[in-house]
Amino acid sequence: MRLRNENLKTGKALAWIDPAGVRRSRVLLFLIEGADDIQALNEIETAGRSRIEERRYEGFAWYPIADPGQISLVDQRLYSADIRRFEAHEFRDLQQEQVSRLLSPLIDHVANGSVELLPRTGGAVGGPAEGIQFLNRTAELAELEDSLRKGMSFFLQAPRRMGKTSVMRRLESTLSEDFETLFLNLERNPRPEECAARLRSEVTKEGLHAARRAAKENAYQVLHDSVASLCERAGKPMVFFVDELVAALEAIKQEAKDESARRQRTVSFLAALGGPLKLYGARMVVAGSINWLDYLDSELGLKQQELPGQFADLSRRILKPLDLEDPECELRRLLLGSALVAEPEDIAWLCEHVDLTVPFPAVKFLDQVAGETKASGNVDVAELKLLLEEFLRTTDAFADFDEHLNKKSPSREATDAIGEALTAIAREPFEVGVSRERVNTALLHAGGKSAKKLDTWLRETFPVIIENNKARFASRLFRLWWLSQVGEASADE
Amino acid sequence: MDKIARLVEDHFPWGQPGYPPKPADPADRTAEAEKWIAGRLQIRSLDNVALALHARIQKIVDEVESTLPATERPRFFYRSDVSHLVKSPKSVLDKMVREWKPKDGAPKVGFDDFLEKMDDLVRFRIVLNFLSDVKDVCDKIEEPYKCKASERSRLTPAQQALMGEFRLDGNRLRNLIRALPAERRSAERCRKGVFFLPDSSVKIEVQIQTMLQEAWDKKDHFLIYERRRRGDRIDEHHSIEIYAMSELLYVADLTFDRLLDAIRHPRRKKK
Repeated sequence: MRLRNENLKTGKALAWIDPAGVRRSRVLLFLIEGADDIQALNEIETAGRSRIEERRYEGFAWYPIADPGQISLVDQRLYSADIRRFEAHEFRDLQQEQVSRLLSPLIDHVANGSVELLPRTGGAVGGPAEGIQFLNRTAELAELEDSLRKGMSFFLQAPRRMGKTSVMRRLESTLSEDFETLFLNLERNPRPEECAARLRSEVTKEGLHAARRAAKENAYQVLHDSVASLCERAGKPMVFFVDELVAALEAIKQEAKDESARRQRTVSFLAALGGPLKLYGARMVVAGSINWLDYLDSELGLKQQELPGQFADLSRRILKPLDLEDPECELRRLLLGSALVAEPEDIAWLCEHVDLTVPFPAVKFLDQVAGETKASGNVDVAELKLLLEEFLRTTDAFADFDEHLNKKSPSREATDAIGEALTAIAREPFEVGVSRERVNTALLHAGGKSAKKLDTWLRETFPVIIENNKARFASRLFRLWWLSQVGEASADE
Repeated sequence: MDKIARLVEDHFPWGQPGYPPKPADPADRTAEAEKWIAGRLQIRSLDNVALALHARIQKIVDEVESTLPATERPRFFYRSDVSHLVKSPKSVLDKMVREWKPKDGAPKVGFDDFLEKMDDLVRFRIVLNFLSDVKDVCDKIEEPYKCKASERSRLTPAQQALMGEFRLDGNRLRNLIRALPAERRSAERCRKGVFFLPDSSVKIEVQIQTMLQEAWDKKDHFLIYERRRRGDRIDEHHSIEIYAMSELLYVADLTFDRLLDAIRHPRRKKK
């Protein structure tokens, strides 16, 4: 693995000049070093031409380039600052279809005037992946968008770090033209007063401090009135995104004196939020890693039909681990976006160890690889192995899982039992997994009655897939991380 | 019927395997032949082969430039012209016709072998500043093809890569700069080499010349070459003058080179 050689001068440019003459031109430049790159350049050109023809894009043209600094000599509307460089070598040894998969979205982004063209490792900051950093969930997004357009509301559930917030952000952006959208992160504003103040401030445009004073008096009324005002004044149908609902329910739990007060406040909170939404026909998307209905049932004995407003109508949607149609292609897109040139053996190794199912840790690891490559100029597979070992030992990219296991599991025994189950799954080869029976045996160590609940908690919190009576991890990297946590090496290494 | 139409009419292998059927309307036949030529040129991705050669030669140019004192490097390389890498179908027909005498029957370069026979079907140009720059770069390009196998270890990585990937016709670049007057067929001045991939017979012509030589070529192209190609009458005096301009600019190049040498070696000047 090495950094892209952007000092190469010769190549073929795919330039786009806005036919409307409004947007700034763009240039994708595929640099070559010699005869070994001819085939790759041919494939790139064929794939590019085919996409442009298929989509009937206008304004694209191919140019031979001998000096990128003089691109304006090709056409005065092209500027060297607008060139995005690649090496044809990065597309070498790929099938035509693979080249098309890599190149087509790039061409689409150029044609649509998008500023960003590819995800990059440097974009891994731990927050929701937005824009180009959002990895492929095309089919699920289309289905969720369709449901919302049809007027449905739902609870989006997935284990942590699977991209729920990113999906909501993407839906928010996709729907923003036809809908009024509002995003409420309850992990950030978990107390009803804070939540009410935040929405009041949205309505009145007064400062958050002033809104807090008003909300202090009667949080639920302020919350209700604010949601109602937002719905009423929205010129378009409304979609309300609520992230981490259970965080708010937990905050109520902390402050309530007794069970009855907690129950009453929980219902009041849900009524204040969901009542006006139902009244005004707004859609709602609620997301969380914990099944909120199980939570309400087990903690307060509340069933969904007893819940107020829109909450009674939420259907549950499970967001599965990122099912990348072509994981290698996604990986290559990330490498392309990060100017990392991988040799076939690097790609093979990365595909075996660093899937993007749980994107954040994988992207963070690749960012470390990029840093090391910048520092040393070249990183081979042996060094990749060492880097991964160090990463698994020291990274905080999985801290969220760790925190949930150690602080949010029902009991110490439960933590141990879950840990044992995770180890049992991890010890088996990634593709094979372990029998469900073996997992259940581990969970039973926490006490017979809670085993079923723990099984649910295990699947809701960690990237675990249950299929054909087998349990396996959805993420190779998570498996390796867990093995390193328990001091074991992967048996299938 | 013009000469191109006659060539297409009489010698394009209509309907044979790999060739289109003959259009009913004679007026469509030249266009159909041009379309077929365009397809043949595109299938072979000739421009990408030429770019690969350019990338290899560019490295050698960079190597020569890196041997110059830092103050001289910015003036060394002027530009590469890769804007017309592959001849247009119309130019291919023009060239076929130029070398064809109808009374002799089939053209020397035909539709079945133009890809292999035309030396300048694919070409690019590298323009340097001084005559000595052209010589230095050409020496470096020729060196791997001229040296013995036992001497190859002295070659630079760029030279080895060029020789490893491309063959040079005759193992040398033709010298149209220092050709004797009696040997000169035109006023054009440059170094010219024909390269090809080992597994391909398609040739790529590389021209290396000075800025003044390119300047002359650009003017000649407009004043004489294009007009002659269109069949316009060329005034004899224009031909004489344009030829003389090439000689004049050569003398200018020689003078510039002498001045360059003088500022590089001031002591020698004192002597």
